[in-house]
Amino acid sequence: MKRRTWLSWLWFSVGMIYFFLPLFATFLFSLRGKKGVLSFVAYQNVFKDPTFLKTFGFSLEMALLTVLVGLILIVPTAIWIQLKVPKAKALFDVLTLMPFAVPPIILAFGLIRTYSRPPLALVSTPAILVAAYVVISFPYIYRSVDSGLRSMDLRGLSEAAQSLGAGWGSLLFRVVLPNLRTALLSATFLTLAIVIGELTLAVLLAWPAFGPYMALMGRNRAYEPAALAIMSFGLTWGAIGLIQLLTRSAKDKGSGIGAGGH
Amino acid sequence: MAARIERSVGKDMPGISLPPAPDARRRLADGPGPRVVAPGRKLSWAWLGLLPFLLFALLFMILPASSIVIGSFQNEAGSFTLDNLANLFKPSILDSYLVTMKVSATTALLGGILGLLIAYAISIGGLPKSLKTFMSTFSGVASNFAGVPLAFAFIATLGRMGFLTVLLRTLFGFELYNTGFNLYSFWGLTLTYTYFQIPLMILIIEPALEGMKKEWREASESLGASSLQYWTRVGIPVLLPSILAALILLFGNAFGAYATAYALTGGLINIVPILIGAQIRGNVLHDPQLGYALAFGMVIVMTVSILFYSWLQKISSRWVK
Amino acid sequence: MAFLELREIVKSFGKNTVVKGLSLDVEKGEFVSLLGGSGCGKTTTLRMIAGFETQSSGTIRIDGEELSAVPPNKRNLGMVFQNYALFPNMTVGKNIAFGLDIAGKKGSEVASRVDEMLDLINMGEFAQRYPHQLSGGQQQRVALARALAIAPRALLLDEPLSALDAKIRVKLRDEIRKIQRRLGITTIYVTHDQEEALSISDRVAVMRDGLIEQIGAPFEIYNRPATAYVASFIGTLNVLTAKLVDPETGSIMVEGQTISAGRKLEGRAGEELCLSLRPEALSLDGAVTGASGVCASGAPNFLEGELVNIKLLGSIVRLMVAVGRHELSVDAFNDPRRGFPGLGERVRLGIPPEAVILTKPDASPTALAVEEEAAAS
Repeated sequence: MKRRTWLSWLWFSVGMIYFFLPLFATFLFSLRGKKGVLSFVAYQNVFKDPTFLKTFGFSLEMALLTVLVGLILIVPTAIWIQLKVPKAKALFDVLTLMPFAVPPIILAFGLIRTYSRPPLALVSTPAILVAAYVVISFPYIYRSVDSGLRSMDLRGLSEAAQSLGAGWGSLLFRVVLPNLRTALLSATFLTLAIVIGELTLAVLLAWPAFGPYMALMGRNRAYEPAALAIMSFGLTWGAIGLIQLLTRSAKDKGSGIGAGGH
Repeated sequence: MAARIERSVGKDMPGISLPPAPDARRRLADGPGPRVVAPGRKLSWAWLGLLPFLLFALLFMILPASSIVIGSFQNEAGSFTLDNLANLFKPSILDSYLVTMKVSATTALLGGILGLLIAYAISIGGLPKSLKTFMSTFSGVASNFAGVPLAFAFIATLGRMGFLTVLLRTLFGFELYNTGFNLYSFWGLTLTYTYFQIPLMILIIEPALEGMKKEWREASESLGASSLQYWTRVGIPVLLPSILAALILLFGNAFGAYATAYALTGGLINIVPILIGAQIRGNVLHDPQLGYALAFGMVIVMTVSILFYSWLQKISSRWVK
Repeated sequence: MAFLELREIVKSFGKNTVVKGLSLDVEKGEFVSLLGGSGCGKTTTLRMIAGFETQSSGTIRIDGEELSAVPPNKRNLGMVFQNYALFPNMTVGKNIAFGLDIAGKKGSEVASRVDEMLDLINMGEFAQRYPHQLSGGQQQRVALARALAIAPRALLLDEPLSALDAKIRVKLRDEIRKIQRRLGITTIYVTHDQEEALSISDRVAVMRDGLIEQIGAPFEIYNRPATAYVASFIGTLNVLTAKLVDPETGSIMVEGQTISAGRKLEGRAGEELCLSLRPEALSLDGAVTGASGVCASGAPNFLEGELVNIKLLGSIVRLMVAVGRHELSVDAFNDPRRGFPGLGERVRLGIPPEAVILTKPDASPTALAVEEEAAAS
């Protein structure tokens, strides 16, 4: 069966080059902040820039709010559906996957048109940004939670807990959520990774977020953007690497499939 | 099955647990069939539990999306018109749709083929398992590495001062930019998009490749088929729905992409998302209703893609259990 | 020379030797089962015949042809897999036609052969169905038809029934045997299910640790197991340790009680032996206080013990009787006219001398238990 292994190696190598050449080039570029020598000047400049910290802080805040709202919306709903209204599963599937059909650019357009005039003039509040982020995180959060729920026998667990006298509260907080830990963590990290660097919604809804800041830097500076790209890649790598580690150690099949937000 | 037992025990025969009916067993074997839920009043109360989510989805997803559809059939005064949609067929608009489709199709094909080959290599191509783990993890990262940082990375690689551009010049005396290549135009955008398309393809198609039973290959061999005959008659036909589905997803993924194009070209390339963005920012087009039509066109493309995708998925999930 | 001949087959995966010098002769038209627990090398042996694995050493011949240089797609052997392995993109008809198409047969010839095969498995009306529309049993019948369509030199089946429900398993196994008899095709059948092997085969080869421990007709394997392993692997068995008292008369001592094997025994007095007794061969003679204490052969030959449990298994009642530190299973027909002694009563177990199976204590009881567990899983 080892007749065509060399072809496998070839395709693997092509992939590796495609993936790592731009990263290497960017890293090299980011080190050229000082003329003639390789240095981390570009990185220092980034960290010295107060706007960096301000925008990053803002995006982090938005991302955390998104995670919070997203989990509160989806987790109880998913559990409720599985236990009480399995008929609603198909509807829920469609709704949570809809953001794949409604890309951020469309979402931004629709939100602005819907909420820019009274009585719902929400566009000027950060709430609308968080809401939009929650919508684009639906598929990611839902997939994690769904695979987490499927890997446990929710019905059996809840019947066992109830027969032992547990109410809804203790069922949720002492039985279901602890078993969902891995799924919740991967949903959290994936959402953070996607939201923090998000550009489309932030730029079109006009918020001073990290994504627009990076885009602005790209227009005005040469080496700092490269440093930002490397840092941003490191962030994504950290978040998703952590998820893979978590899910793998939990022997779960949930994976960080990503599409959207580009 | 749990639901059935609950019903039969819970109602009028307390304490008597009958064996599940034969059709319950069959249903169990066939996978998640329709579950039996206690009928009547209880049901409507249970649906109430979904209200927060449904309300949120309605307000921030369905309402905005449908406002686009409605808006594209209205003129500024709010009365019905088909002019907006007719405007979609103006040469300039049609052209941008064509360019977007060309970019999306090219990146989907390029990323799809490379992704498929890499997924083949790491799943059934005989590479060490550690490489597979590494590649899947990396694909999870790279498929989400898009937008502004990705644009920067490609500027650093293929821009006029980029690493590869300079490398080609100094090593081979090859001037990339003399060939008509420009990072900020079609091929530049295509190569950049391909960066997240390849790993996305790997993530989507790898499970399908893993689902190929080795017994299919062995059965076809024992029936006299060569390796080529196996692939042309069994392997590729079985994979085809999955591959097509993945390509469609990749197409949609590129079609709606705004951030990468915006950061790379600064909004200077004539693709639909950029046009819509410009329309929202109100700095280019003078016809606000056209924005609706542009967005509506995109919604249609995306919806058709998703429908097609789920249809193909259904076929392949029947085949590859 | 036998039709299918395996000579001194050795197969190693790295340091791990799975088949250790196995030889086997199968006559034309014969149905031979390879029976054993997981890891005994039975599937590997079958896969070497099919050509999916290459033996490290040894030769495989079929009809006189040496196979080692022949790739699997040129061996003309039919193979049936545990998971059916039907091509999901083809209808039942197309699946069956696959091998014929590959061989370049004419369309009309292919069509009539497919019809013939569909008739053989009684699935004529299913030709246009896709595999995912069929039940497991139907899929496996199609897989069988597909393998037979090319008129292979031999049929190889790798645990074909283990993914199916118990009822369908029995039905399909009889069907396989019927078809095999009708076509007279040489068949190698791999299974871990002893009941299946015994009921379907001309001969059963019990495999253990890469070798054939015993090969013979089902009756021979069941009634005259050559080793303690074979005895314990096949059927439910009471295994006890016994001491040889007198080789001449065949008397042995079990738990301080003497019984007779009714024949001359090899070995010397005082030697330890492994005594195996089938539950169905023992008879419950009633309470010790009762009249009867004589077994069928005329001479009293019994073990005495205490009835500790009674289990109803349907047509059979299994009684557990404690004899010393052993607990023996005794099977009796569930005859509504008879009663059973109460729990705790002393009972006599009549032992027909022919039922006494004596083997050398070659395997330690723990090793045996582990292997049994492996076989069960």
